[in-house]
Amino acid sequence: MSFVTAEISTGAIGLWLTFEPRRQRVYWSKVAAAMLGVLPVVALAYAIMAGGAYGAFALNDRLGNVTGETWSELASVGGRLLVASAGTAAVGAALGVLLKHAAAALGFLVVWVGVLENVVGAAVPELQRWLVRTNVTAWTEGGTAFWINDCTPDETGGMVCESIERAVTQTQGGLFLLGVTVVASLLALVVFRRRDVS
Amino acid sequence: MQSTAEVPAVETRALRKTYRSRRGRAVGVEGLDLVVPVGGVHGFLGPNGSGKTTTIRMLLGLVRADSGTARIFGHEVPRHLPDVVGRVGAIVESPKFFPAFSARRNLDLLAAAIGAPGGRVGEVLEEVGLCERARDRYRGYSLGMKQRLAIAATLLKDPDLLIFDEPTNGLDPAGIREIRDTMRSLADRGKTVLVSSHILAEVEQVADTVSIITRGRLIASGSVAELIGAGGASVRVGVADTALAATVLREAGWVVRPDGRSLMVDGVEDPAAITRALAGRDLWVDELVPVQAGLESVFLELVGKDEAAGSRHDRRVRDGRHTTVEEVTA
Repeated sequence: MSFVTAEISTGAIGLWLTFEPRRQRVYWSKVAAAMLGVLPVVALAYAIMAGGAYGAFALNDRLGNVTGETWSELASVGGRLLVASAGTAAVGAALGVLLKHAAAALGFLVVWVGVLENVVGAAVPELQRWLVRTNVTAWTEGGTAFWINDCTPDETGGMVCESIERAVTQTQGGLFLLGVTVVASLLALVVFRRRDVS
Repeated sequence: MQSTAEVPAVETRALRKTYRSRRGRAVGVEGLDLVVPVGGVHGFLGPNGSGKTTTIRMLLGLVRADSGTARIFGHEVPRHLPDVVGRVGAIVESPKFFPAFSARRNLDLLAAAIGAPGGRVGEVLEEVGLCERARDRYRGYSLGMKQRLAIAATLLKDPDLLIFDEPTNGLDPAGIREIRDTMRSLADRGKTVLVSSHILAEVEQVADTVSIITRGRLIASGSVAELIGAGGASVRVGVADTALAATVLREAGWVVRPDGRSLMVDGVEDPAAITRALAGRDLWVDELVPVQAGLESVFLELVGKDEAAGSRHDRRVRDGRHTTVEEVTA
């Protein structure tokens, strides 16, 4: 995100456009650079985290039965994490283009994920299915679940509530994140193509 | 159909651009007709805020015009800008590079992006005299070095048209001279250089042709010699009471400006008429010296007339009379 906003705020994007005026190409090159740039960082962080966890369990002699399936699952989670990170980078680049300032884009993310999603999740529990947080978890962890209270009046006039589990599949999580990435990218592309560059 | 030789480097027709402002729409460029011939240095002159940078941004596709057309080497821009961008190098206002990268690294990035041949970065650094400092970080560069690096970047494509927007802003005299020499040298090699500036003395020294705009409209265009000739002669007038003399001469229809302890009267065909006008009010001339008009005096005269016409027009519009600029100017 800051990679894009820095170019916009310094005016370097104007210089680039005098060399390559096809804005669509310029936009997708920025998105691709953001997506590719984030991958080694996330891969390294995941390797350190997984290696650290393995080392800690091994040191305490609590490693248990590590099979090929364990490694396969670990690799699968890592792969999905990389895909999610690439998508997040694309959304970050789109937000950078739309809002032009890193602080504004970061503020937007903090308000959306940290405040809005908490408020919405608490006020209308059923909507948790459509929160970014829920879908990221569903994608990276191979599915997730949330609970809602189903309350009905009883004979005494009180309420009887029952917690019901709602599942969110990995497929839904993946499609949701893909949708968010595509919509944010296309919106940013339209704005970038039409915007005057100062 | 125009032959290749007739196609100007830059041509705009009725180009218009407005911006949203607190008071509604502010006009940046108003029906601009501009023609920049192929070859030589073309000065694009106007006061600050007259629409020079906006015009250049429209030519480069950075800003979208509301209406009108613009062409570079006959290609309509911005629609066909990709077809011609390889022939255009441009610096718009202050150069913008990555501050933490060296000059060479910045140019390497641009060269890779446009597929410039290997060794081209070294050539352009050599051309602008930055070889020795090429590995220094950009953020440590002086303004002059930054400007030279920007010129080096424009040369990467070996363009036929170079567009420099206020290239000498903030430079010291030595830096200004370097940029001027660079522009002249490029023009002498057959390139077309379009340079916007409000520093007229600089442009006069290097430009072959000029266009003058004010309030977003073209008010004069032609060779420097033609424009200076069209401006008429200026006369320096020495008189004891300059304030009264200025009033008398202005009432008689001359354009008068202070010049130290004397007055400078522009557009004078018969200097004796000045003597007669002042003598008629008991003002006795002690100095009457014809002065070769410069681009600056022509510019000030043209811009002054246009702005006076503009303010008369504004007053008429405020009074509820619908009058076009053309009617007022006429």
